[in-house]
Amino acid sequence: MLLDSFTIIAQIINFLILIYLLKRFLFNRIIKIMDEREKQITDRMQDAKTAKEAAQKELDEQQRIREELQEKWNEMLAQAKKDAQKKREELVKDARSKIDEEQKNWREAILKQRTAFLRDLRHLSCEQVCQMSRKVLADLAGEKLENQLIENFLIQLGKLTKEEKNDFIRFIDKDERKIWVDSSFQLTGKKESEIRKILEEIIGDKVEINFKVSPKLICGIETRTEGKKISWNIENYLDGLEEQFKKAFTEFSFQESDVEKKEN
Amino acid sequence: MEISPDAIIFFKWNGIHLNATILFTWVVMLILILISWLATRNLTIGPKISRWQNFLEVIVGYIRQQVKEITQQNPDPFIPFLGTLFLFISVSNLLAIIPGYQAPTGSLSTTGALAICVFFAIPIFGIAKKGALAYFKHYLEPSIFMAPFNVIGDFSRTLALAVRLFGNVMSGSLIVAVLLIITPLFIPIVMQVLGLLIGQIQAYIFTVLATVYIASATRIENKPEQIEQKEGSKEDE
Repeated sequence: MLLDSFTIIAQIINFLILIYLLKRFLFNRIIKIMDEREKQITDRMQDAKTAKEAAQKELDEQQRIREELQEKWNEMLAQAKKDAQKKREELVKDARSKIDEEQKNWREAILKQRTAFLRDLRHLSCEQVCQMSRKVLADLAGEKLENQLIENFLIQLGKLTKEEKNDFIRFIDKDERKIWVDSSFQLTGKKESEIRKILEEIIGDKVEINFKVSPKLICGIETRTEGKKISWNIENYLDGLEEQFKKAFTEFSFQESDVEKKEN
Repeated sequence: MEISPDAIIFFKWNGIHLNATILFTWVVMLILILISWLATRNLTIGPKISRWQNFLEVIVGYIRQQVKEITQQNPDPFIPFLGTLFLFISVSNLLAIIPGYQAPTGSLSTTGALAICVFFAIPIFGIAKKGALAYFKHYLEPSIFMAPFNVIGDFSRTLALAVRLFGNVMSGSLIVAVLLIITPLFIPIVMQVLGLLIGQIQAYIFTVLATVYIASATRIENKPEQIEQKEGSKEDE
């Protein structure tokens, strides 16, 4: 017999009991735990998503701040470079101006020294030439230099053209009517009168002539009004010598500056 | 040799008898309940779970997924019935490898009992979901003249369920028994393995068919008016 009613009923009951027991011990528990786990995973994923979004936001913020700082840094660097360049230019300019000033001072000092040296040289040369001339003249011709100077001075006065004479007279003070005769040596009375005579001839009138020994005139004699001077002295010969010395000094200083530039 | 384990009677008293079918059903029930109870004693939702819990979660998860795919509804109300059906048939067939064991599903009484359960479960789920009137109305579709055929269809599919499972399991065990007589070595083992496979397939088929029947009974058909109403309510939102 394939079908047994008792067995069928018993199996139905068994099956219903099994449904109840498995529902209680298996399905409800397992499904509950699976749902809880699913919920937990969903929650965690949601949390992770939120955290990720927050982290991304924070990252973006940090990135923005970093870019801002970088920009500011670049600006500051550019400003610093600009300031440094400006400062450098100022310092260079300052240094150059100082160098120029010092160079100027130095040149002035050199010039002063040169002028002083030339003046001394001229003075010494004049003295030397004068002494030498005096000795040569005395030794060779038995003449005094002073006499020759006076003689030549008188000759020169005699050779004055009319225009030169008028030019000389024009500068004589009309009220005081004074002229001066300076010499580097003491004139004898005879020589003074000779000079007086020839000057009065030139002027054509009586004037007050003052004779004076002037150490400034190293070796010579001169006559002067308020604004005009006729002189006969050794200094005139030395003007050329002074020019030669000046030229030699200039060339020497140029050569020195060229050497300095090459060394630098 | 007995065709059905019903014929193997261990105890008989006043029309009440204990045969192999009932006895081995109890064994199957005991195993299922014992494993369930033991595995679900210490359930955790943490990342570290026991192997038994993992094993049962896989099975229950798979059943849920299958039922959800077939019914296209929330599977949880159907799971205790359909899950029990699958597990009972599956374990009953699986234990056939144990010598001396008689699969309860090899008895037409058992498969009949299961089919009867399905037969009654369909209207119960249908009425619970749609209401009695809506449920019984489908017998009159497409026309009132089809009502007898619909009723016959319900009975015949229940019968088919019972006979299909019984036939497969019973034939599997019969084939093994016959082959044991003809070629006692190796061949019965192959057939036994095949029998195991067939047993699992039959458990799957039985459950899937039951699911399909229940799904068809519980599915709410969207009539044109209802669709319009739904669309209207969505627009209101």
